[in-house]
Formats: sequence, C-alpha cells, structure tokens
Amino acid sequence: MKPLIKVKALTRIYDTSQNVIAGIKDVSFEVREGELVGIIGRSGCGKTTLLRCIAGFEKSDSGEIFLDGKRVSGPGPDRFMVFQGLDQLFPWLTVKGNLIFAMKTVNKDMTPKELRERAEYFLELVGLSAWADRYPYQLSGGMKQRAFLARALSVSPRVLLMDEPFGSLDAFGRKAMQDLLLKLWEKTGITILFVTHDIDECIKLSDKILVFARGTLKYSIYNPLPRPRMVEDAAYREFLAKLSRMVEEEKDIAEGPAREPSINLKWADVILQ
Amino acid sequence: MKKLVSKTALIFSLAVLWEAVRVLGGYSELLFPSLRSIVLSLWAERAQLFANALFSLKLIGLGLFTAVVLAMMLALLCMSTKIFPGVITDIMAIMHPLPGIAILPVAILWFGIGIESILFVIIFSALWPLLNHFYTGFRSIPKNQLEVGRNLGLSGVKLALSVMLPASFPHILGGLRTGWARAWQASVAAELVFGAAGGQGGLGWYLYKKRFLMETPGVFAGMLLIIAIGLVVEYLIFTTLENLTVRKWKAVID
Ligand SMILES: Nc1ncnc2c1ncn2[C@@H]1O[C@H](COP(=O)(O)OP(=O)(O)OP(=O)(O)O)[C@@H](O)[C@H]1O
Ligand SMILES: [Mg+2]
Repeated sequence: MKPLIKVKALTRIYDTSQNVIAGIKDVSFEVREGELVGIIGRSGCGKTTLLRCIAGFEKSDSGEIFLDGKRVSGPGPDRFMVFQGLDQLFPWLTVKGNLIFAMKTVNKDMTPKELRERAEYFLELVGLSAWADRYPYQLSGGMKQRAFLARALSVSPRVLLMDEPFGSLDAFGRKAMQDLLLKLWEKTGITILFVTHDIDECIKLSDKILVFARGTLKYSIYNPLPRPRMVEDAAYREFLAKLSRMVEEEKDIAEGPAREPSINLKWADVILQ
Repeated sequence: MKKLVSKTALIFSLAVLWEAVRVLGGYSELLFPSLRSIVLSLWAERAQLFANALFSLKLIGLGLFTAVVLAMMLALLCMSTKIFPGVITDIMAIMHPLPGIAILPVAILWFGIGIESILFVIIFSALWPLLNHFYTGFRSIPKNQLEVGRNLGLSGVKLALSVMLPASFPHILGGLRTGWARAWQASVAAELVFGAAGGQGGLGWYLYKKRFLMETPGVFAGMLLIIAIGLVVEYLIFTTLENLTVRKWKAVID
C-alpha cells in the first residue's frame, strides 16, 4: 500500500545563540492511510517541530515531506493541526460559528443550511450539542478540546495533527478524550499523528509509535497489543516497560558518557526501517 | 437606569457648583456667564451652531476615515515585512509626541489657508495613536488563532479581514476612541488658531468668532455643544459597539 505521508531526511535546525543545536535532524518515516501514530519523546526533542513542519508552518532546512505523493510546501486544510494551548477557538464566534467559519473557508460551495447541519453533526459527535451557541469563554478546558476536535474533523483533512492534545486535562478528562478520539478515529478512518509525553496514552491509542530523542527519530515501532488495551494485561505492562526504557534511554545518554543503545528490540512485532 | 440617574445627578451637581461659584465669587457676566444666558445663547443660535457642528463632524469624519485606512495599511505592512516595523516605530516615536496643532504652520505652507490644512492636521493627529493601537493589537493576537487561520488556507488580505481584525478588536476599538478624540481636538484647535477659510467653518470657528466679539455666553455654549457631541458619540456609538463585540466575547474585563 502506498503511504499517505512520507517524510524524507527532514532537517530543521534552529539557530540558537548558545551554540546548542535544536530542532530535528535527518528524520525519515512513512505513515499509511488510517494509521494512528503516536510521537513520543522527552521535552525538547523536536516533536512539535516535526508536527509544524508537516503542517507547513515551518520551512525545513533540507529533506522533504509528501502527502499523497504531493510535496508539502505550506499550510493547508488537508493537514489540520490541533495546537498546544486552549486559545484556538476564535473568541468572537460561537462554538458552532467557529466550525462554520472553518468549513466555509475551506469549502466555498456549501450552502448555509449544509454548513449548519454539518456543524451540528460534528458537535453532536463530540458531545457538545448543548454548547453550540455559547462563546468560547463559556467553555471548560475539556469542552474546548472537544470543540477543537470537532472543528478539525469538520474540514475533512487527510491528516489530523495533534500536539499534546490532552496535556492540560486531569486524569478523568484525559481518559474521556482518549476514548472520544478512538471513537472518532474508528468512525471516520482518518489518519492521525499525535504528540504526547504520556507513555500510557501513547500505548493506549497508537498503532505505530515514533520515539524521538534529541531531534532524531530513535525507534519506529508497531504497537503489538490488540485493542482494547487494558492496563491489567501482562502484555500491556511488558510493552509499557520496554517503551519506557526506550524513551528513558536518552536520559542516561544525556547524563552519562555516550554509548550504544542497550535495549533489546526483539520483542516488537514489527520493526520498521 | 441606575446609570442614567447617577449621570443626571452628576450633571446637575456640576450645574449647581457652577452657579454657586459664579454667585459667591461675584464675577462679571463677561467672564463667567450664568447658565441661564449660556442656555439662552445656545437656543438663540441653534441654527448657526447646528451648521457649524455639522461642518466639524463632516471634516472629522473624513479625516478620521482617512487616518483609519492609512493606519490600518501601515499596521498591516508592519506585520508582513521585516524592516518596516523598525522604521515605523521610529517614525511613530518622533511623530506621536508632536501635538497635531504644531504642524499647522507647515500645513498652511503646503496647502494654504483652507479646509485641506485643517484636514491635514486632523489626519496627522489621529494617525499616530491609531497606528500605535492597531499595531499593538495585531501583535497581541494569539499565535494559535493566526495559525488556525493559515491552516484553513487564509493569507494576506483575507487573513487580515477575517481573523486579524476581529482578533485585535479590543485594541482597534481603543484606537478608534483615541483617534476620534484627537481628531475632534485637532479640528477645534486648528480653527481656533487661524479661523476658517471663506464663510464656512466648524465649532472651533464659532468659538473664535464669539471670543472675538466678546460674547462669552456664546463661547460657553459652543463648548457645551462640543462636550455634548463627545458624550453622545461615546455613549451611543462606542459603548454600543463595545457591548455588541468585545463585551459579548468577554475579550475585555468588565
Ligand atoms: N522557533 C524556535 N526558535 C528557536 N528554537 C526553537 C524554536 N522552536 C523550538 N526550538 C527548539 O527546538 C527544540 C525542539 O523543540 P520542540 O518544541 O519541537 O520540542 P518538543 O519535543 O515539542 O518539546 P515539548 O515536549 O516540551 O513540547 C527545543 O530545544 C526548542 O528550544
Ligand atoms: Mg511540544
């Protein structure tokens, strides 16, 4: 099967005055249509940078990104991003108004009736029907995140890019949003790339996991666990331990002398590249 | 309703204070006219005052509109280029403290004695505070909202109109308020300094004539009208606009 997203030798280095190299370096991977990809790594390892490059907000220094065989050169609604932060709705529009604005901007042919009905459909999907006519300031953090999701899906992007989407929620809200995301993913079949620093979240949600460390892609692995994934399962805990070690490994390198990765990779069902 | 009562009470006490000072101080009518004669003069000259006020408002409207358009274009240029912001901020630092009336002599040199000169002073007075507010407003737009706009495929003028304008509306409204006040002040000041060209003039010209003729109640009547127009614009236009927008969106603190 042809990959939907192809990232080839992508490099984006930021000029930092302190002589520290920051950004991402020589990152390559592929994502198939409909995959739910989790991107994980320690803070500052370049997860946001990668997502912003794919979204087209950052220019790469070298390397290329392809969506469906076409080279990505700037932002566009075929790759819709949900950012970090709760200020993504336009405060001058109601929740429904925000969805309608987005759809109207992307698709000029829709009639007002179609726009309204479609907005209502997506708000219903995320459980925000009752809040459709409220203004963003009247929504809680969790509701806002539902609204971001509804808006993102309403413009029918090929790929949904999510940067630590549930980072600001408490454990209950987080669980609810994870379930919601899975439900929507199963329903729409959309391709999702999401960044997280929560290993449990990454395991629960993703088909494929990209582990980043200091700007490079360290591991690209498939999640061997069948859905639904239960913390109680022995296989889950085993995978969790291994993924944790892969993510934590970088810490040892950062703190001690450089050495070869000591992890045994044989356990994973499939190892890419 | 409560507001209306408190505002009426305020105006009433000011009137009482005025009369008290006048009577107790024993000032002459020429220096400190009674409210009665001010109101009488206001009524007697209503047609003239109306014509002058209309003239002022038209001039200010035109000047303010031009200044808003210019300021908006400059602010957008600042947002979309790299060197422009530095240049504009420097120019703004030079021009902003300069009272608009101070460039009247230059305006007269360039445009002669006439409406053009007054218009120039009005535009100059309103432009810098407007630009300052607009540019500050654009820079304070949350990055996420701009990027959502770009993500939807918006850029350039479309992005400016449909995202940047509403997103910075609290600042834009503040700019309009200041710009309006500056334009009003400039128009009155300019006419007070050199009168009017031809028979036409605004409220500044009215004040100028009344002072020249030593008709003190008329001077105060003109001032009263200037204040009244300012209040009407503030409460009818700006407050309404505010209630319909930034207050509704809770973009400002009540
Ligand atoms: N605009 C920028 N200018 C300079 N350096 C930047 C810029 N954006 C990111 N960086 C640097 O690039 C590196 C990667 O940043 P990035 O935001 O991609 O990390 P991250 O993995 O998303 O971290 P976190 O988990 O904390 O969000 C960091 O060292 C950061 O300081
Ligand atoms: Mg990040």
